[in-house]
Amino acid sequence: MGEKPEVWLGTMALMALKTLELMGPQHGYGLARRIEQISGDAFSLNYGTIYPVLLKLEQEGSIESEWGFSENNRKAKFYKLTPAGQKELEKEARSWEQATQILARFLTSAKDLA
Amino acid sequence: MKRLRAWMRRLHGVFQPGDREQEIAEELQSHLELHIDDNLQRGMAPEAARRRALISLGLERTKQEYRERSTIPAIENFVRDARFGLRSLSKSRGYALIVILSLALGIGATTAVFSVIYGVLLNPYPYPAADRMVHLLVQDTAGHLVWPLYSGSEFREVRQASSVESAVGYRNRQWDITGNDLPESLLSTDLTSNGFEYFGVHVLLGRGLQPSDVSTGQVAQPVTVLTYTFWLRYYDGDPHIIGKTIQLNHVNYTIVGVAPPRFTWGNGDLFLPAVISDDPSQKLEINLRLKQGVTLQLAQAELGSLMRQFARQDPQQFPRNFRTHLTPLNEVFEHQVGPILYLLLGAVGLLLLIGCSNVSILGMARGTAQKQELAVKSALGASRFRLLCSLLTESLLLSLAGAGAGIMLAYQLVEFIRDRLPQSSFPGEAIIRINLPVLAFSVTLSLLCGILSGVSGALEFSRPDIEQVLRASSSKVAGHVHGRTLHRVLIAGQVALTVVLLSGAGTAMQAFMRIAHRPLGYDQHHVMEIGFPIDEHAFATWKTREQYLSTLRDAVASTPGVTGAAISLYATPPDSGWDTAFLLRGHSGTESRRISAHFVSADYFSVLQIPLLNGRLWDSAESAHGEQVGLINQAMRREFFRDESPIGQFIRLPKIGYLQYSLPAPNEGGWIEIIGVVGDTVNNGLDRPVRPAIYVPFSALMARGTQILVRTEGQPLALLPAIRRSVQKLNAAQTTEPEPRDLEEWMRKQPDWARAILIGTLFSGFSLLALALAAVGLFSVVAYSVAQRTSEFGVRIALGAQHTDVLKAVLGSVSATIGAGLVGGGILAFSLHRLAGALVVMKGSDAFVLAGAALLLIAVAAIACLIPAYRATTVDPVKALRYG
Repeated sequence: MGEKPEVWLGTMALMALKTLELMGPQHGYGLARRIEQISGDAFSLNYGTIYPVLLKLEQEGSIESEWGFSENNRKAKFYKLTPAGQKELEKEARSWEQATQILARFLTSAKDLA
Repeated sequence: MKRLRAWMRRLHGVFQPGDREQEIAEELQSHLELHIDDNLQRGMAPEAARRRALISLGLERTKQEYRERSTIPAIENFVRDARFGLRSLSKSRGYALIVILSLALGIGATTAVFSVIYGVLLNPYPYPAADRMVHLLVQDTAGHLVWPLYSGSEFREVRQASSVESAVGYRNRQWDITGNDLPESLLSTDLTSNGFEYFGVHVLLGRGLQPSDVSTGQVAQPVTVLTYTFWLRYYDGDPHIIGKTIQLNHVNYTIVGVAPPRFTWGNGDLFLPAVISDDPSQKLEINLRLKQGVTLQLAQAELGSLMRQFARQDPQQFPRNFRTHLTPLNEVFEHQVGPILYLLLGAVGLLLLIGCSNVSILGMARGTAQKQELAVKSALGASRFRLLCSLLTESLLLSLAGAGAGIMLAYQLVEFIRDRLPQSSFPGEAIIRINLPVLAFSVTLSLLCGILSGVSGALEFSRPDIEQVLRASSSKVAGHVHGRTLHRVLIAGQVALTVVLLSGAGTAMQAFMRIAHRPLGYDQHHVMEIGFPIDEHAFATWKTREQYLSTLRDAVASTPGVTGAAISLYATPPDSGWDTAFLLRGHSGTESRRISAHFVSADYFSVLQIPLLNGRLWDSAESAHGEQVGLINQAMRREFFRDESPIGQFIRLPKIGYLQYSLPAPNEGGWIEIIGVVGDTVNNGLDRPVRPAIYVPFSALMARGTQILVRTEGQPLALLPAIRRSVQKLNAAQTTEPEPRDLEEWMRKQPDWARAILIGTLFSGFSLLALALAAVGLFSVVAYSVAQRTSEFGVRIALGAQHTDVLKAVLGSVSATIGAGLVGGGILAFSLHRLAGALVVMKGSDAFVLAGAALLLIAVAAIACLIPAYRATTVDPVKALRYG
């Protein structure tokens, strides 16, 4: 993770955006947990990593934050998707799908050739 | 777009560190609580739940990452360094102030003086290929420049010479504006019709003069182009002026254009087309542009043969023996102010050097003082890069402040110098203003200087041997050897340069005092000069004009409040007289000598209170008859009548008849009898010796304009309206020149006076600043060495040293340094004085001035050293040894 922070940030950002789209407004801890669960605990995630990602998305205008209360009545900062973020998510998801498709095709054909 | 937005937010974040820290702390705290809650629900023990949450979050690292992402670290560091720099500078305000001042003086003074030099000397003319434009002049055997007038056919011949690309002819004429209630006189510049094209003038309104303004029959059309200043003054800048008329000497002239502000050729009020004609009253001066690649020598050789031919045709316009002299446009002015300005540039350069050495001395002292602080920071883990950055930031702050102050100073100083430059010592076209490239250059230079001094200090001190510094800090023994040698060299250099500047200022002040206290030989108080243009058609004969001038004088003299009035042509001191050749009957060897001729009425001597030493004055009857009588001054007697009495001798002024537009007496050119001797008056400028002079009755030569000198009881200029009324009663059409002169004020406007004042003030100002800077430098060096050696002095005092011993120890090395500086400065000043003296005629007793400068410097240096030295004697040995 330390070696490629920007790539990691990009991936994390996409995950965070998608999660916010699915779950609605969510706090940092909830997002981190959710990402961990969805990825099938494959990421042994350092929860702190989510915060610089959220800051970046907020600076870019993709998400907004607001203080509120969690289900067990803890004060927490909730993030929600903005319309710009929604568009950003769609764009990023598309390009990600394309990339994985190309890569998948490439890998299978490479296997065939071998 | 998205990126930009993010960067803007981050930049914004730089300036609000507090809120952000608070926010992230709260957010992470809530994260921890949520995580702990979860862990507890899963059945962990409270202690374990908390530990797991903390590990998983990585609190400090997250905060750091968050922080870096939320701002721009480099800028944030800079802002932090700047805040820190400001804080630490505000603790040593003296240091900051001196550095800023030194830089500001350097930038301001250098830029201002160079801008003036650029405006006046290097680039005053807005004309195309101005460097190839020359005046067609000749030089007599004594080296004086003579401005001949050329006829139309001569102008054509010059224009066709093979080294000449193009030429323009011009002359000035006096006019009266008529058809108005208030008659006023003005000066025209008549230009051959190619003039506007020749000078590449882009008119402000309408059009310039053009060839069609002179018809083929060589008749000038009644059209005129106004100068910018006249348009503003007389027409209040009327934008619809084109097509209107102005009446000059009862003829209507159509205004066809307005010239731009920088086109002032001939210094007239308006431009008229000049005809190219062989009528002797229409002769012109010539300015020409050489072809590209033609040298002055080559052109001089070609035109020289033409000029000899002209001199044969028209001997009156040329001296008997002469050399053709093509004079570049600015040569005249270069002689007048060039040396002063270059001298000033030298002075400013010295000031800059002193300022710079001050900055480095102080910087070094401060660097040493900061050494411990840096060592501590470095021990706490600050990287060398970060230390460098913070040191650099501080010097950058100082340089920026210095640059800002310097820019303001430069603007002020340029105005100061511009207002005090001697009148008519720079071309009217010149624009004296801050030269932006030069300003940018000096600002960049000073920023570089500041940064370099910061870097050199930073490099030296950013890698202190931590352990040694920390340990050595309590034992302040004799300082760094390398640093001290450099200090000494800088201090000696400062002292030397200050001596040079001070003695320069001393000489300048001396020169000014000599001018200010010179006996004038006349009384300039309560006297003014009023110019009266004479209508040459109304008073066309010698008799009518003589009578009119006499009654005009009487009208002025009878005005209440006026105690005396005298007619005076070419005779207003302190720069008076018409320069002419002469012959003395029975004397030989005076052919190449020249004297000043003054055309005055007999009242002249009483109005100016010039004493009659021998003989008698002429009376009004003699003047009215045009008798050939005259008076000479003492200088003339000394020079030409050593052993004999001049009275009853005869003198002849051969060229009186050839002055333009003037009426000589019927028997002019005859022998004039010398009937008396009067006292010397300053007549060749305030700074030059009195020239031999002759005074003859005004009736000997009456020009188109004359002046009347008026002595009054009170303020002379206050009587002007009353005098105008009495003159109008005599002749309603009689105008007066627009600018009457109060002789006392006039003296202060003399180029010599203005120049002396300008040099005196600027030199004194600069040298006092240099002295102050040097004193501060000395003070800080001594104070610094005292601080360094506190414990040494403690030991000495504890061992029984007396106050004088300690003083000796402190002052010993400093006085040697100052002594070396004084000697070096003395030698430098002495050799430079030779140069400066040759440049600006600064005759002064060099040794005396130098001694004065040295004494002043020693006195100031003593004070600057003794204050901190005295502090050394008051060291409490116990404290010094314990806390050092």
